[in-house]
Amino acid sequence: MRFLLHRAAQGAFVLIAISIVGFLLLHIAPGEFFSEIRLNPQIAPATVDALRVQYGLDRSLPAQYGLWLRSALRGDFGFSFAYNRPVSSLLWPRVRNTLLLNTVALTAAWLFALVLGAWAAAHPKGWADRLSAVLTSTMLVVPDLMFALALLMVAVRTRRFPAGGMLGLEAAEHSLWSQAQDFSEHLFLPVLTIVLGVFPILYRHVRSSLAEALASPFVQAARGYGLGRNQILFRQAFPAAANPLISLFGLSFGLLLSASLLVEVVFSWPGLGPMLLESILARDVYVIVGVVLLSAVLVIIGNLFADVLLYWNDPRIRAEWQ
Amino acid sequence: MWRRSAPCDASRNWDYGMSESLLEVRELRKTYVKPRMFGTGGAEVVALRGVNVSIARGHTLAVVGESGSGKSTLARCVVQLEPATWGQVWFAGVELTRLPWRQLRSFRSRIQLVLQGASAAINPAFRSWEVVAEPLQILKRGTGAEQKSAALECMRQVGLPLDLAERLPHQLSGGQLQRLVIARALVLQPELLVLDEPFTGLDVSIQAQIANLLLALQRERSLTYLLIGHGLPMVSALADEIAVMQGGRIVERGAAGSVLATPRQGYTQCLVSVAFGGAAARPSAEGSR
Repeated sequence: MRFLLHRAAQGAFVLIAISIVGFLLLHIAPGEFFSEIRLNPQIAPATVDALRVQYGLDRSLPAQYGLWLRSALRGDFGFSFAYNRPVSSLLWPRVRNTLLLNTVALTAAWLFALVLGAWAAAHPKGWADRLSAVLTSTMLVVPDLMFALALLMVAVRTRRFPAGGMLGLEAAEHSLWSQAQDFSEHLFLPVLTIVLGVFPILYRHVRSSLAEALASPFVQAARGYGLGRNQILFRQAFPAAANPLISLFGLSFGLLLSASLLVEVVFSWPGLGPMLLESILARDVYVIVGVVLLSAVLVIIGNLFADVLLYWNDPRIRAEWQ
Repeated sequence: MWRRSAPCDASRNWDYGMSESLLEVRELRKTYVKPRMFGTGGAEVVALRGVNVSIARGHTLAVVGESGSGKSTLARCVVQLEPATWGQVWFAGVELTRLPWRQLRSFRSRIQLVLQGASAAINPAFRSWEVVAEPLQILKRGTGAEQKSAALECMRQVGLPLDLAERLPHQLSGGQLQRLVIARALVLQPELLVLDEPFTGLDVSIQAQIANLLLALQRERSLTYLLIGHGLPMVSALADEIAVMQGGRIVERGAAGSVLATPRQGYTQCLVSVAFGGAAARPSAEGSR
């Protein structure tokens, strides 16, 4: 319990620090939402000044942060200049769509990485292991955007998969099953793009951690007692290799909001990606701070979850805290 | 200090017949193939080039030599952790190198390997008694309570206080860890212990304690030791016979006293000279054990 409280307090501190740093950086960056409006000769400068006063932009930076903090505690997370609405009402539907996409993609990437990584570690230096090393190295150097564009091209050429969006235009008129099928088809290419980007990293970590554990002397000793290959893998190597993988799992949990931002833009997925891009271009500061903060919350939750798993898995950590 | 009370007779006949040998290794060869990036085959690394050794029941054969001479490979091939490329390993009249995996399993408890580097040879997530009980759990011998009781008994026999039973490996000293791996090897009541550099990383006084422990255990349990080591002084305190390895071959072999007192090969002379600081400091044939 003491361990959990300590980690939660650390997380809260990090969250406050990120909100301050994010807020500061966005205000230091040149330009603001109303700079572009000022260029419009049809809008009087006095009107722009009045709008700046209305949104509190005339106040000092600490005062603006205070206002934003009060709004965040109310659950609004500030006000969007572009949409003229509280940021939270803009974020939640898009957060849901982004979480859906990334949860499916990261779950698939982890499953493939665990199965294939374990297989490769158990058969080191075989042709399949060497081939997968070459393939994953190649995949690592290809940017996600290239995968996205290539798959988009495949979708357009073959017309087998929809090239964008989350549901077809007439989906609402169909049965629930047809809607689910339509949704799966829309989900496939964005998920595949994210998996292609994340899988090589996860696969390499799983393979190297397990290979190292399998080569460790205490696993060799267990082999010397006659333990079979599967038992060695699951009873000895996996628990021994778990710590770095648990930490990586915590980090990948933090990617649940950010892994798909570019992919969403390419595939017109109605998630956080397209809205964040628009907000950055328009200097809609509070939307950006809101997204950054939500990502930070997920990173912190992911790390907290990883810490709890490490505490549960590793008696050395438990001994340290008892 | 750790020397045996009764010195061995240097004129003893060391050429054991098949019937007296607990372990006999014949023409053992081991070649590792370093795979190419693409395609089959690859560069060959020859670790053992036809090794012949035998150990009589209750005796100790020490295999010494520089790093990379093939000592540890020999140890791993003897306990069947590595398959030999060629040659035979006979244990108690049975050829282990021909046995299928399932039948080999019944022999594994009779031959135990004490791996070098005790801290790495122990699962860091296990408590001390769990480390010792692990072989019993793997081989499904006895109930959980019986396994724990056997583990605690072995810990007591190797001189580990029972209040260490619940400690994790990182909470133990180097000497305690070495005792723990010896206890783990003893829990299956083996006949042959293959000790791969059991003194590595320990200070001199702890080395002496471990050597004393090994001698006491050999006396109590009639254990046979295949001792792999670098340091001739410590090895000579335990060994009945010494085999000197170089480049995957046994270059000299004989009674410990005679090998140390009158080394025939230049390589052995060099090892003895480095270990004992010249001929004047060499132990006599009678006093080596």
